[in-house]
Amino acid sequence: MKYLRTFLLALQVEFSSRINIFGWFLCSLIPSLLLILVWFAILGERESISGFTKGDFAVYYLFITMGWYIVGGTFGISTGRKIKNGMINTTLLKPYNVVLGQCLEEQAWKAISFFLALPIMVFIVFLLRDNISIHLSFGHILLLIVSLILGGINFALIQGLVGISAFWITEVWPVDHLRVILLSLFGGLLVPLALMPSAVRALSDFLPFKYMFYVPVSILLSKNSNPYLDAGIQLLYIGILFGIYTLVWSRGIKKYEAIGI
Amino acid sequence: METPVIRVKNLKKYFRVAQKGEGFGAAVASLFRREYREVKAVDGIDFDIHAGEMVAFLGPNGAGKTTTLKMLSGILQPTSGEASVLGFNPQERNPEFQRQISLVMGQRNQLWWNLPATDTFLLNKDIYKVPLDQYRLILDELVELLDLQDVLSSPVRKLSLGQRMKCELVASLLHRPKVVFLDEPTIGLDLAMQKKIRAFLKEYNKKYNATIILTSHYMDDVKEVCDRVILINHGRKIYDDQIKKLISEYAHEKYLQVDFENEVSKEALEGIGKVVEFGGLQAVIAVPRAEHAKKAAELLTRFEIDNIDIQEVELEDIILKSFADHV
Ligand SMILES: Nc1ncnc2c1ncn2[C@@H]1O[C@H](COP(=O)(O)OP(=O)(O)OP(=O)(O)O)[C@@H](O)[C@H]1O
Ligand SMILES: [Mg+2]
Repeated sequence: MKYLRTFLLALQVEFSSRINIFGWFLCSLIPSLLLILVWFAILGERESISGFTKGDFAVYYLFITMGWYIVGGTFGISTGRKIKNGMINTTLLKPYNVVLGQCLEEQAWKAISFFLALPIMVFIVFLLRDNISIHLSFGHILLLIVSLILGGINFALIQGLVGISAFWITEVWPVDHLRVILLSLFGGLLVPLALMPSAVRALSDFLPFKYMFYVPVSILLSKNSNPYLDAGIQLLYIGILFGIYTLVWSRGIKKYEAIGI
Repeated sequence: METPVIRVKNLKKYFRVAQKGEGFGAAVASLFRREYREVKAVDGIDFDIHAGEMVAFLGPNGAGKTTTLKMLSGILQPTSGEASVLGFNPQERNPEFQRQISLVMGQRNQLWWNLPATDTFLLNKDIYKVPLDQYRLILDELVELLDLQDVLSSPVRKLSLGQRMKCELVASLLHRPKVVFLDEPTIGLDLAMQKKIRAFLKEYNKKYNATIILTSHYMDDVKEVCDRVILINHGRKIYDDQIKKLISEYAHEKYLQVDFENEVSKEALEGIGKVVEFGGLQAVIAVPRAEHAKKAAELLTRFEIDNIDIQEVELEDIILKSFADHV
């Protein structure tokens, strides 16, 4: 229960520090709203582009904004920094997974942000209600939840890899930046993959990035031809990434210099 | 004899450090051509330590003390050589091993900065799987011993250095480790607090037959807490034995500190022994240990004396001397 405890402590820290989560949420909302407006303008009088209606675009970007608090995160950077300056020394001593601990700590602000953002989101959906139409069966909802969790694990593994790259390099942010670019391009974060050039789409099938946000959002919009297969591939990628992660960690820890005092 | 708790054989740690000259030009140059230097932080150390021993690791700055402790606690991989602690290879970081050790670093914090120390204690309780009733017992005992009642509910960031250090000790000892590595545990603490922590460590050692290895630059830590010293310099061991023995080996002398009624000459005193300090009305004279009583009597008969003190050579002096002898 040590990781649950970590999460609870991190929650307490969030509550006590009262940082402006709300402000952050509004900032992250603006790009999404802009993209929605852009696509509304492009669509003009047309019904849809590549099967995406106005409502689909709205749901897509709003979902990615909210989904960020479930799937996303930034603990790769903080993990990297802690490795670099030897701050993991005291945790490395203990029967405790340093990177998993960092990940669990991060879930605190994600959870708080999610619930703070929820009312605003409901309000926006209410404004756009005439455009939005979602039909989901119970089974679909269940699959969506599973897919979000699997996506989150995939994303966390990538972040973990970004973090432990600090065993070799001085700064992890360029690596993290690369991750953002790859995710925007091949993970559908910027533009739905269905609207991307076919080369990008083809490549994205062989990369893990679309199995983080894109698969769950497609399930929500009922756009996967075979959602169960997609979820299965998500699971497969968890296996692959976990294997890579374990290997990289065991190599990295041998190089770890345990800087400090 | 029982098998040692800690066994170290020819342990080495070499670091590769990029070299850079002074200033901006050198920084640019280093972008293109980087030169590396090998730092032999630990260069072939051997020792055995048995259960319940209290050992001091002494050596000048950069001697390799911290590096050795890091390797023994499993956070740093040796370049070569062997280390075994409680029958485990530390670098495997086996949870069973980790539950039985602790490393306290005077300047590294495990406490959650924005929360009261008790929250970190609870987390450690979970990490080390300490049963709740046992946790309460140990916590009460430690809090009492270290006089911590009043600080437990304030956020750690609001505590003083000494209060933090004490909380750090509690957090590190909640799981009752059998082997405790302490890296300068009394650094920056006031004298009363240093004394308390020393007393506490001795008590902990006695009560649980814990093995304690401590580094410090304060000789009082060493004198009061430890039975045995290991001196290291430039990554190598230069001395390893009981402190008593070290003192008797090096302390062939005692110091006579004398205050005279009238001014005396240095030459006159040199007949008695080696004059270490001289100030006309005061002097410190080193005399052979076996003859110190005779020499003191001789002083009393030959000079008008106000006061005379017979002193042991300080451990500091002995350590410095033994380092000098082994260069
Ligand atoms: N990560 C590292 N990279 C390169 N060199 C290092 C590293 N860590 C330690 N060293 C070097 O290894 C040597 C031993 O350092 P160590 O910290 O073990 O000394 P110490 O005996 O603990 O000294 P002090 O009394 O100052 O704490 C020093 O010369 C130090 O510069
Ligand atoms: Mg040190």
